[in-house]
Amino acid sequence: MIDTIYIEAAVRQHPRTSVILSRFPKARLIPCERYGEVFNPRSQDFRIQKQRPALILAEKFDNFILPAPEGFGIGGEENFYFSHILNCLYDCRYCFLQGMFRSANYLLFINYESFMSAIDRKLGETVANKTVTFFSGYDCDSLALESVTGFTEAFLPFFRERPRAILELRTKSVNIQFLLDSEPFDNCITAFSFTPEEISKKTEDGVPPVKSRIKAMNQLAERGWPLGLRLDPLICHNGFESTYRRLVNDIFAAVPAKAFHSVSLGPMRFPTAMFDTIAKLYPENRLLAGPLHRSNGMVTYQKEVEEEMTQFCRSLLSEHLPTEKFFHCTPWC
Amino acid sequence: MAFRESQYMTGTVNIVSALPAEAKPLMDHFKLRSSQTDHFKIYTNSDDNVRLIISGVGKSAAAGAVKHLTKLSSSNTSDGWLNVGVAGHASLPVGTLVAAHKITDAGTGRAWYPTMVLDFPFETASLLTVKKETHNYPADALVEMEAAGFYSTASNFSINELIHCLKVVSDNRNEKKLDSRSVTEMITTHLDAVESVVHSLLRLSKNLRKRRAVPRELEHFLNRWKFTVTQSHQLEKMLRRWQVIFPEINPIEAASTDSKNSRDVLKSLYHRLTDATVEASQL
Ligand code: SF4
Repeated sequence: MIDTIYIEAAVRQHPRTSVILSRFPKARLIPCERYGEVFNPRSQDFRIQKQRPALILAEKFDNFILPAPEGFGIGGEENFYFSHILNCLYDCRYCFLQGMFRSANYLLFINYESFMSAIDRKLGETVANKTVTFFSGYDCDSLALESVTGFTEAFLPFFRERPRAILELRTKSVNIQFLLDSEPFDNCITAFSFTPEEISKKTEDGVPPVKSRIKAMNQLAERGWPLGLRLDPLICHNGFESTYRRLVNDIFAAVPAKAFHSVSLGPMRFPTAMFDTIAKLYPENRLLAGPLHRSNGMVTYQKEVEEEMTQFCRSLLSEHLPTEKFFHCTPWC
Repeated sequence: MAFRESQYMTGTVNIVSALPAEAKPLMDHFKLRSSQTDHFKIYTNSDDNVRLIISGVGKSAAAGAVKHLTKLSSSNTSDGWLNVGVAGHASLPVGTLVAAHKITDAGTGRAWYPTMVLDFPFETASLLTVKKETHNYPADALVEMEAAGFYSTASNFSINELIHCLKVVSDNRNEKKLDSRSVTEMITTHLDAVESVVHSLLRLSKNLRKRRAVPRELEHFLNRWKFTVTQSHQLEKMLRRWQVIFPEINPIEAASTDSKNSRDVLKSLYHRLTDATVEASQL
């Protein structure tokens, strides 16, 4: 899966580097001074790179924890996000990462302990009894590259000891073995994002089928892990009522409602410049061709369409969950 | 689809070699004929989509040759670029073909990383570009005199995925085969591998050109109505969307009814595009 690995000189001897390299004995190893030499050059093409992404092992020095966008939250009193990895194994046509980074390579910051210290500092700065949410799947899928990163293995014990720090693992993957093998705890929410199967097949390349993800949710629920459900982004298409109804029914037929910690709905929205970058990468793509509308620096569906879809899905979910479990976690809203 | 055919029907690959002895087997293999000989010698095939330039020795010469070639192409931002030549290496056997995965300019310390997206049917290695010929081989890297000049200049025009350096090891600690005849022979041995790289680059270049092509109808619109610069950018974006959503409908005809001026045109296209519905199966 990964045949090229760039390694920053500073992390060449890091124990986590050795573990990761041992998983790819045949990979081409290329030394670099700083990851920016590989990740940031202007003359790169995200779409071509996405056909064969390389892994970059690097060290992060600052900005470990960032404030979550305004209004973004799942019940914690303060909200932050952190990104141990930039970019994703999957290839969703609506993903904003395509418009955010020049490179499609997986950039993994292996100094997890520095992220943990920063989380502790952040907790120290907040009032002692406040709950603080840390979103881990903002610039990546939290679990998709678990077999490479060992992310949950490293971070679950850390969050388990800090009950007022809520960890959200946001994913479309079914890499849940480490969670199934671990004792569940309340402040780790595994949040699965879905679009209906018909949409997923067309727009989410590499993502496991909806059925498999519902099965993974059910396994986690049975094990006692709290779940999140994210219908995000809501994709407009003819007959969306029936595809979303089927999706929601399938989920709640398999997973007990009490397992859900939170649900959220997210419209499809992009800042204009980001959208233009993505549309240039995939000019032939039907999803990106619309019907989309530009207003106030954003590209979205028309307001009425967006509201109609949100209201409809909200009422679908209300058939299964109380409104206290409804939250908002979409950037740029 | 409604693109200008000539813009995307083929890709282009530009090959830069320092010496006639390196270039000769490539010229024969790709059937390249001399097309220009003012400052540099340039050779092209009959389709004019594989070009070769003999740069002369050294970083600046390679950079100059790249610049010269870019002037001959109007769509050079999607061209493929290939530097083919010989290099030294401490331990690799003489005659080994290698692609560079990291190119460092020994003079400045700056490094470039050609993106490893092609299926190279041979090994890859780091490469050091030096100013003067040396037989002091760096540990684990090729050493030669052009790649940094070639790469840094080509990446001002094209993208890292389309720019590569292929080197045949001509000398190591124990053996040297630096005479013209040996160089030509060694490159000849690897022509099939070079050809497979050229074909991959042509395919990427063609796809990129197609992706970036201006919708054919744009020119018709610009001739018929008067658009400001901002409006013509908006129009271009709308026409791209149009050809995806309504591939069978001519946008000029759709916009003509009731459109007196450019504003009306944009409004009418905009409404059609934002009112369009989509089936899940079309996504
Ligand atoms: S799973 Fe999420 S992060 Fe990954 S490509 Fe899809 S939208 Fe982007």
